Amino acid sequence: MNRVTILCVEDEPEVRDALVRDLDAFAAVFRIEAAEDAEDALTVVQECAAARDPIGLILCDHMLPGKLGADLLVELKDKPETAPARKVLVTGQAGLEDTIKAVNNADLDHYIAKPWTREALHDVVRKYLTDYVIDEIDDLLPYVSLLDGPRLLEAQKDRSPHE
Amino acid sequence: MSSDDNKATGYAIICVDAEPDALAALRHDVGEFCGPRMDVHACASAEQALALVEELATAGIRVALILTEQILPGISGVDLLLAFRERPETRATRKVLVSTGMDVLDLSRALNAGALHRTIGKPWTCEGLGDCARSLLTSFFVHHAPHECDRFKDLLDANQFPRAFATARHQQRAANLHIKTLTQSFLANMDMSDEEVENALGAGIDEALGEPPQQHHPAGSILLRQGEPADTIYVLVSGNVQLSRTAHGREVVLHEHAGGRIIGLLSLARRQRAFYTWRATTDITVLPLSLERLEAALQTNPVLSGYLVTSLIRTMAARSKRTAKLLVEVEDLNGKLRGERDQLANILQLLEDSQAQLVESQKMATLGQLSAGVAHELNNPTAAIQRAADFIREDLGTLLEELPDGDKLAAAMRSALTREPLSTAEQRKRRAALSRLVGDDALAQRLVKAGIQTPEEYRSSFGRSSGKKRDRLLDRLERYHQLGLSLRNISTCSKRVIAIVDSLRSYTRADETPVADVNLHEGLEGTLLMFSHATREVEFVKEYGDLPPIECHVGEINQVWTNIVSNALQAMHNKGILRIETDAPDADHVRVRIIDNGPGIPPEDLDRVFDLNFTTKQGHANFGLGMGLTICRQIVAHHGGTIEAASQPSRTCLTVVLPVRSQLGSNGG
Repeated sequence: MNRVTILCVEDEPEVRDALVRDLDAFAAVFRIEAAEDAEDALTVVQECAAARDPIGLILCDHMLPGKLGADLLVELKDKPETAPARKVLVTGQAGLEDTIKAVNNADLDHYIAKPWTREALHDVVRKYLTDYVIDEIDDLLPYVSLLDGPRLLEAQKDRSPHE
Repeated sequence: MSSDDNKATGYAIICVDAEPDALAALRHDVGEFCGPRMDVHACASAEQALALVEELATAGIRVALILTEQILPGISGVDLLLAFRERPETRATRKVLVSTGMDVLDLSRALNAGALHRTIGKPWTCEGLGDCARSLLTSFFVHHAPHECDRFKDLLDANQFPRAFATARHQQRAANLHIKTLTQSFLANMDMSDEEVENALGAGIDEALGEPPQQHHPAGSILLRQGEPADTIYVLVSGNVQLSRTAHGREVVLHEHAGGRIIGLLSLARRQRAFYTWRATTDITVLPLSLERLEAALQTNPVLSGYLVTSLIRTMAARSKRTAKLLVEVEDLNGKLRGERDQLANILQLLEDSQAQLVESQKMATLGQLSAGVAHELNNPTAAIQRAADFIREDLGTLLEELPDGDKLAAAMRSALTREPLSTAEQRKRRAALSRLVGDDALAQRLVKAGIQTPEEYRSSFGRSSGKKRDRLLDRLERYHQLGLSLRNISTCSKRVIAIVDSLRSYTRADETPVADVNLHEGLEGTLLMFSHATREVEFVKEYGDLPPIECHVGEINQVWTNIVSNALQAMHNKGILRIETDAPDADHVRVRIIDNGPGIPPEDLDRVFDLNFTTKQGHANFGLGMGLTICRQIVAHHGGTIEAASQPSRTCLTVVLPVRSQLGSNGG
């Protein structure tokens, strides 16, 4: 079965470790991938496409080596593989201007300020993955236990009679 | 009837701004974009907008788009958008913040609640606003009222709704051209000289009216006065008349010659007061005519009309030629004024630049004191964190010895502590290899988390065991490896904090007396650290040679590096390669070169970069080479050193040479 992927882009290994570990709770159903820079992120996108695993959520640091996270998100928004993915900036340093750019050009969905808490991170991930699977995935039942169950059941109920 | 019309529209746009002018402009520009196709409402407050939504909802009208300023009396723009998001009837409304006064907090509050689709800064451009409205209306209709897309297609994105545009404008242009051609042919037929036309006209009128009485006026008399009702036309038989206007209390002569023989016809024909004052400059003879008498003459002899029109056109042509000349003169004067204004603006710019420099250096000084204090305060907790991480590691090691499989668990922990971290790409490669070995992607992922990265490590950890037994061990290995990882990350990060604190301390050592044994590399590193927030797109190439420690004012020398690096980064627009090279040209001197690949300084300006308030013209080398380098030269000279600039395109090098034993001691000590 193809797994929906959560992609974390973060250049500092310690922060990346912490982010990925905080996402452990989702590992039972989702594929979790980490990338250390923009180039590596694009490689992951290709690998996922090759394995037919769609990317559902991108958590992206802002200060990446050589490129701003906001710019990377704009780039990913224009790629068919990552256009439907929900996009979240995880940052301690994005100023107003960059955030505006991400909102206007990358359809940024959320902004998480560092340091984050596990609870807040889970809330955001759960909310946007729920949005994503309702929009993009036919069978919602596998996600009921991990994501927003009531919303998913409601959506599944709405869609069954039509099909 | 109007309610029917509203129903027919069915969709509305709301603009909100407390400032009346801005609101009117916003409403106008949005109206300009969508024309009569949609009702555009203007509200001066969020409360008003919410009341309007209520009203519209009752009338069955949906709000497709709202544009609001953030700063409003009462409920703010962001809270208004949030309220729109809450209400079911405006949930789908596309929401735009039009503002200068927002911050990240407001923005992320709206964004994170899904209540913000775009932001537009002030002042906006009509085009930008139109693009924004088009894109958002497209997504609104495509997603929430797809059956209406066709009806509103000319407001939506042409890429998604391709269609042929009718070119009514083209037809209009053709009609204009036709009229122009007619006029030109009329003029072309008139090939008589000015005098012939005027003589013919004068004679014609005389004849038609049976030689009416003429008037004689001495030089200086006024025929018509500016602003008085014009009820008579004069045909000038002989003499000259001058045209003038009074402006700002001064009489300005606009035409020395009337440029024709019919006086006052234009004002009379338009039933206006006289535009000029008409004054005789010689003794004149005129033929006064009322409009009725002129009409009678024209009716008696219709050929006169042609002469009259030609004469008028030529009069106008002569005057407009003169007007054009005046305009050129005015333009010349304007040019001179502009030149003077630009000079003043340049001087003002220079003053502002120097003030900004002063403020900047003041800020750096304050920042220096502040960071020195913060650095000191950070040392204690950081030291405690680092020690605690070591203690936990030691205690865990001891505890592990008592556990079954303790050696394997200790190894799992140790590997996390000691191994070089792998790149994310390498991690994925090893995970894939493990996945092939165990045939299970999820298990491979867990193995990596337990620090087992290769098939060999897998076999040495688990041997042939599988199933529950292996899972139990794997579970424990995973925990201990992750524990090691966390410990290592604590150590690494606290070491980083300590390094930052050290750099800040050496950067900000505010010392009045020169210090011996200063390592210049520390100051350079500290300087680069201060700029690290702005230099993610700059590649630093450092070639540090062996430098002897030198005697200097650390704070002052660091100010030199700061100013040079700041100038270089500005010249590079914070992008490119910045090289820092150090060496010791002889036993008594050290040399630092800071080289940027910015646009470079033209040779003719190079000598003056250290002069006070030097800025290159045309904004080409647009960096604040104002006081920054002047201060550098003073500091370096004070230390008995030299500073030089060399530049070619893509390579500007500032070289600072400092003596190892400064002459400061003899001056200051």
